[in-house]
Amino acid sequence: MTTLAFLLATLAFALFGLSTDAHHRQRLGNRPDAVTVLRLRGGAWAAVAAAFPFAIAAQGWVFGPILWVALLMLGAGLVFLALNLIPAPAGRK
Amino acid sequence: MSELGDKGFRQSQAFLHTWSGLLLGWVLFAVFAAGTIAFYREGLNRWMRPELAKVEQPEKVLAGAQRFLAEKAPDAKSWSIYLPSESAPGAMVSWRPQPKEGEAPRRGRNRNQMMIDANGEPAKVRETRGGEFFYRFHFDLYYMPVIWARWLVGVAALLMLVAILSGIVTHKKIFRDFFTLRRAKGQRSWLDGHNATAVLALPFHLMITYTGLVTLAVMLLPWATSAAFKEDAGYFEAIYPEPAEVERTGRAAPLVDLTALVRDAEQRLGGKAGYLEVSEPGDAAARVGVIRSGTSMLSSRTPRISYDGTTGKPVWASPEAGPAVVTAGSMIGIHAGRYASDWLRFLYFLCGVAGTLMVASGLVLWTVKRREKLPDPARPHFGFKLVERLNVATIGGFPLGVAVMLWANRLLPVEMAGRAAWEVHCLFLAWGAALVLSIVRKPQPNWVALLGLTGVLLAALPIYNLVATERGLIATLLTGDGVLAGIDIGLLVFGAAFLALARRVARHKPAAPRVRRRAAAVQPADAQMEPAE
Amino acid sequence: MSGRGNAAAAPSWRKRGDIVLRIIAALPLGYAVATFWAMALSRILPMNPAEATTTGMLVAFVICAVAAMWAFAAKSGWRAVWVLAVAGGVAAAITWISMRAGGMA
Repeated sequence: MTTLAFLLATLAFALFGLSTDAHHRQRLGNRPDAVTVLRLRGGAWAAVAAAFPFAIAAQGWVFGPILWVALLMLGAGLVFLALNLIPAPAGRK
Repeated sequence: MSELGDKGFRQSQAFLHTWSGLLLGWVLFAVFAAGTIAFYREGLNRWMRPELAKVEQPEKVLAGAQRFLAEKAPDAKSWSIYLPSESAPGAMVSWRPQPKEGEAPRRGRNRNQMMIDANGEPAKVRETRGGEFFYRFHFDLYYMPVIWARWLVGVAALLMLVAILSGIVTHKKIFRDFFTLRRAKGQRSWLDGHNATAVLALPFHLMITYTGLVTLAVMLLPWATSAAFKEDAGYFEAIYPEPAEVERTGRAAPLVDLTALVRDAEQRLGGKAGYLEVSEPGDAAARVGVIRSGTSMLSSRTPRISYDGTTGKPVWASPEAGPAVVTAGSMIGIHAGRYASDWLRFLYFLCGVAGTLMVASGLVLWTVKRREKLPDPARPHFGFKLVERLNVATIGGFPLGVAVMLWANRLLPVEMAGRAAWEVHCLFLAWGAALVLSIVRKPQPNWVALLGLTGVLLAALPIYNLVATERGLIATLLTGDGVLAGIDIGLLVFGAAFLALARRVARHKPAAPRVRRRAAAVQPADAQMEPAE
Repeated sequence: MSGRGNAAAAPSWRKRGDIVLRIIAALPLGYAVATFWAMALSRILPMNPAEATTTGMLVAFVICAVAAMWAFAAKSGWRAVWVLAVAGGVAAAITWISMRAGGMA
C-alpha cells in the first residue's frame, strides 16, 4: 500500500516536471504544446489524488494523511534531484 | 485583496516576504538548526553517554528505578520516572522531598535526579544534557529568562509564517520554478536553491511553523482565555484534568510493584506508558499516576490513569477531551514528531535540514541580490555590512558551535564540576569566536575557515568514537545499534558536506565590478520591491 | 491605482510614513485583532468554554498572519489601519456584549 502510494506520488511529480518547458525539451526532445502540458498536469493531479486512498489504507485516517503528504514531498524531492542531476541525453541541451 | 492590481500585490508581498524573513532570520536559523537536530534527541541522549549500554529490558530498568527510589527517598513527597524505551539510555528518575513548614514549593529544574541504566542500577555516566539541550534551546534559547526567549522565538515564528505565506502568493510561476536549478549562475542559483528547499518541503514548513506557534499559544495569547474564564487556572483545569491531590496520612504502607502496575496500565490505556508519577510513596494514601507515552499516539495530550498505590486498583482515569483540544494536542504532537517511525523521523529530519537551508539561502540571497546594486562594492552601506557579517557569524558560527559542543562532550574530564553546563558554554564560546571573526575579517575567508573547521570537527567525531569509545561505528553496526550508527554516519556526511562547501567558497571568484549607472545609486529602495522571480 | 512601476505614479507604500502605518497595522494592530477575535470566538462558538477558547487560539494565529499580509496589500497605510481597527472593534464589541449577557466559567 505504502509502496503504491509512493510510486504514484513520484509519478505525479515526474509528470509535473516533464510538463515544464526546460525539462520536456531535455528529456523528450521538443517543447510541449498547450494540450500536452494540460494532459501531463492533469495526469499528475490524478496521480496525487490516487495516492491518497492507498496512504489511508496503509495507516488509517489519522496517520494516513501524514503519510500521504510525506510521500508527496519525498517524491517531489527525488524527481527534482533526478531531473536536475541526471545528465540529459547528448544533443538535447 | 488585489487593490494594487496583480503586479502591485505581488510586489507588496515580495517586500513583506523579504523583511519578515530578514528581521529575525538569524534567530530562525538557530531555531531551525537546533529543532532539526532535536528530532534525534533520544539518539543523542545515548550518543552523548557512550558509557551506557542500550536498554534491552525496560521492565528491569523500572524495577531498578523503584528499588533506587525506595532506598534514596523513601519519604519523598513525590517520585517521577520517565520510562525507558529502546532508544533511551535508561530511566530518568527524580524526586521531590517533603516541603518544610511554611516553605513555598521550589520551582525550576529539579536537582534530585538520577539516570537508571539498562541493568537497573544508578548509572555511572558523564554529566551531560545530551540531546535535550537542542530540544530546549530551540524555544528556551540560553542565557536568558525562558519567558523572553519564548516571546522572541514566538515572534520569530509568526514572522516566519508571514514569510512563508507571502512567499507563496508572490511566486508567479510556481510550476516552472519548482524544478528549476540553474547552477553557477550567481543570484539565480541562490534563488533556485531557496525556492527548491522552500517549495519541495512546503507542507512541512507550513506545518512546523504553525504548530510551533500552537505550542506557545497560551503564552503568546494571554488574553484569549480571559473572556470565557474568570481565571487562567480555570482553562488549564479544563484541558489538563487531574485527580484530586492526596493528603499524607502518616501511616506507612508498602508501595505496590510498579512493574506489574505499568503492565496493567498499558492494557487499559491502549498503548505504551511513558511516565510515572508516585505521590506520597510509602504512605497509606499513596497514588501512582501512569501517563501514556507520546510515542504511541498522535496527540501530545496523552491519557492518564491514577492508581491507589497500596492496592494497585485504578481510582481515576482522565476524561476524553473534546475535538478542539484533541486538535491542538495533535498539532503539538505532529510538531514534535514523537509518534514517528524510524523512516518518517528521518524524513522529518530531511525536511528540517531543507528548512534550515531555506533560511540560510534566503539570508545569503539578500546580500547576493544587493551586492550587484551597490554603488561602490568595496564600501557597502551599513545595513549591507551588518547582514553580511551576521550571516557569517550565524550560518558559519552556530554549526561550528554544535561541533565544538559535541567534542566537549567527548573531551571534558568526567569528574569536572558543572560539566554539563560547560559543554554548552563551549558551544557559545565557539559561536562567540565566530562572531568576533566576522567583525574583524572579510567575509569570504571567514566562510571558508568556519565551514571548513566545522567540517573537519564533525567528520573527526566518528573516528574518535572508533578509537576511544566502545561505541564506534564498527561496533554499533555489528550489534545492530541503528541509532548510534546512524548518528556517526550522519556526522560523516555533514562533515563532508561542510568541507565541500568550504572548498566551493574558497574557489569562488567574485565577478569583476561593473561600472555603475548613476541612476542606480539614486533609488536604493527599488532593490527591495522586486517580486521573487 | 495599479503598480505599473511608473516613477510618477509610485504605489503609496513606497513612502516611509506609509510603510510605518502598515507596520503598525500588521503587528500591534494585527495582534490585537487576532486576540479580540480569539476572545469573541471563545464566547460565541457553540461548544464548552475550553473547546471554544482553544479554537479561538488556533484561529488567532491565522488571523494575525493574514492581517499582516493584508496590511501590505491594502491600497494605502491608512486604509490598512482603519479596516483592521474596525475588524478588531467588531470582535471587541461582540465579546463585550456577550460578557455582559452571560457568565464566565
